[in-house]
Amino acid sequence: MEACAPHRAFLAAIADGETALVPAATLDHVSTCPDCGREIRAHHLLSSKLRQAANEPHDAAPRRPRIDLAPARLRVIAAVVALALVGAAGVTWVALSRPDPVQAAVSAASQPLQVQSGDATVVAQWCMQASGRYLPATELDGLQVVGARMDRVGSTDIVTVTYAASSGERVNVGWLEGQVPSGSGIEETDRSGHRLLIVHAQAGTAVVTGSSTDTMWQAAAAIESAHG
Amino acid sequence: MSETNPQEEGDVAAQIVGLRSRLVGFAWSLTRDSASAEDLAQETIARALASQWRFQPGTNLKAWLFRILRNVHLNDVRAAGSGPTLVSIEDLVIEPGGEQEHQDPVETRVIERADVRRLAEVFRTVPRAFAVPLYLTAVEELSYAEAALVLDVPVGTVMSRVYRARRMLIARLAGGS
Repeated sequence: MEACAPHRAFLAAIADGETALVPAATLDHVSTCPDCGREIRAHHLLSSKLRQAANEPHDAAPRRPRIDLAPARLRVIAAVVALALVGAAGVTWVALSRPDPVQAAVSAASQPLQVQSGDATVVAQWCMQASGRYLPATELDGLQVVGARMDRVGSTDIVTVTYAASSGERVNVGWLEGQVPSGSGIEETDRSGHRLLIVHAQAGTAVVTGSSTDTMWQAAAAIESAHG
Repeated sequence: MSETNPQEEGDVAAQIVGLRSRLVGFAWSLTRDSASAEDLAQETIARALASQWRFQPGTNLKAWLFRILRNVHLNDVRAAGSGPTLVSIEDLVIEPGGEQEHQDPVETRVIERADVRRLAEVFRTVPRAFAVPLYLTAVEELSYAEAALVLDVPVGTVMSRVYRARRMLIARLAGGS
């Protein structure tokens, strides 16, 4: 418990996925400390209950009232906008009102690692502590784990694990939780000019990025064969 | 200034109007008064629609709206002659035992057992300087950087206030006060 003292103030930030703001020493500590791990999970639970409380219609909570009559100016704007949206595409609304988790995974993969280790167990523990969930996989056949990072975009948690292939090329596997794209199997697509693979495995959905298409497919195949 | 076409402007306007309930929720966390929160949200929407060209596509619209709302609120507070809502963290008295002790399993159970009504009641007792950053990050799921932008404080301050708010909530839930 004494060893935990300097790290306590950062535990809520870890629970919130803000690990970029947390010292490396704290991330190292929480990856092996059960007390801190318990507190991080408690912070997760508290966030979840706060969101429930905010959506509960009672006197003590912030109300989420129905949208009542707006002033005339707003009503006109809203009507014009509604017509334009119906004429265009209804899905645009949903697409624009939520961040794209795949795009977010691509962006996360370009950020610096928050933990670096060639030991898959160490990386797995760090990921568990940072995200509050067990990763479907950190060890993939034929690939050497290098490190990981944790990000949160909107309601989606992204745990990105980076690997090195025998050729030395790196590949990133971003596991999504929360808002995830639907689909099945391995889907090849692109975002902002980046080629990527979306792996819809039984254990979860992962976005695979890297500079080498061959290495990306190697990682996707490893995910499927291990957890498909 | 970013260039947008009419369709994009329509999309942004629709999203602004669609976020009204979120604005009311954030406004409530600032004012703790339902009627004032409604007014504040309405004024924010009007201002946002009038200056939507300032919004940069690809950035967080909700965070942009929250920043407008907070500025409107601060202007209202100043106009009313009262002090600013957000005060220095150093000026606030931290509850004894409210942050120094490690959460033990008992406190975790307190969170697990607390019903949402009770949690909302206790949340109301947390000083706004702490409650608002917690609301933005936990309820509205803004990043700390986005919350810092909304509140015009450093990211480290957001992190500190969020942590202290959580500790206060847990301590008060455990204490039954």
